[in-house]
Amino acid sequence: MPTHPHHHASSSSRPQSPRLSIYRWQTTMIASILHRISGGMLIISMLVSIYLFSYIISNTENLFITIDWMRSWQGTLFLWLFGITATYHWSNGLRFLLLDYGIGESRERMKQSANLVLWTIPLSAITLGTWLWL
Amino acid sequence: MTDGPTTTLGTTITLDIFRYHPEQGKKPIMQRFHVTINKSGMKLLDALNSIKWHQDNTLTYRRSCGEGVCGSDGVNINGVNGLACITPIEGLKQPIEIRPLPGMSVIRDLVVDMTHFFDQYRSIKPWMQTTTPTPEHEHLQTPRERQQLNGLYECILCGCCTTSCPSWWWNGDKFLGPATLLQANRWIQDSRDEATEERLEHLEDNFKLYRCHQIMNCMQACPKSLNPTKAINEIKRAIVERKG
Repeated sequence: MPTHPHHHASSSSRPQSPRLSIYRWQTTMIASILHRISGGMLIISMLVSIYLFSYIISNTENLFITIDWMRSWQGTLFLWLFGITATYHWSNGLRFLLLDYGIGESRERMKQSANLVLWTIPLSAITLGTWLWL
Repeated sequence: MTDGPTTTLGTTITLDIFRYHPEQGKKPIMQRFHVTINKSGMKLLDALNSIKWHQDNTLTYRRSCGEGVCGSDGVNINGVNGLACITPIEGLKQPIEIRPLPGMSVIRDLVVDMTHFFDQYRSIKPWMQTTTPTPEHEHLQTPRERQQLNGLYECILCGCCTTSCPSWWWNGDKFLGPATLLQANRWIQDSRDEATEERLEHLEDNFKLYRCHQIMNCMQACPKSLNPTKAINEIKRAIVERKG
């Protein structure tokens, strides 16, 4: 088992107690980790978007190629995931900003707001899915 | 932790306990025990005591007051940290899995090395610092000033919050963790303390304070129902207000 860097030097031969593998997932924990993941996904989405825009403006034919791609299942899936990710990241970002201002800081409110932002995932998935595919 | 079966007198409960024996040099294992419920309102520490006294006296764990004041018996119970002495067996899902506090160096069974945890606590100078002459009797506070300490002074330093924090698991060498930061805020909020500037200066650091990513496991693990995440946010706001 790997030893933790901050442990006392004399304890280097001791095993480390299990952590992430055994800790029960909490909604607040999921909300925070998804915030990091969605942030990373938004960066990738932005890069794809910038590439698409630069591709479109290079000549008129590329515009039609891009429109065709956006209408394909891969393009629609990209839009769908982009939308869900942006909605979640924005919602939880707002939650974190409010917490920074001291709004919703009670133990109960912290848990409730985590649940609330997690609900934006299925809700935005259904709403955007309906809009894109129906 | 209330999704388990009802436990009545005379029924037998099952526990899986983390075992590590340093002299034997083997990898840690989970060992199964059975305990009979012999009193109503039985707590998890009672079950551990029953095993130690009647089944296997080599089982090692810390305990002292047995009523949630000393903070000795912090363990991981079915995946969430808590104090064994105030956790009722009633409602716990079986087999009850008991492990040492997570991300810690294990000395033996459920006993972990708390040296680094208390070194971090010591680093925030957890005592009252004043520059003005000591008053003849005591430092006075208004009821409102005293109220600022509620939700902070109750911390018993059991380590349940700090060892539940993924940020501390990964950056615990530099990030001070929820318990130490809550204790730091206890002195920042204290109207009698006169070292607020130095305390905030010490904490304003990318790692010491700002590694908190509002995961909030600390708040959910705290056996005293405190809110370290809120305390950390209060420190951040105090730093902003100080800068005007």
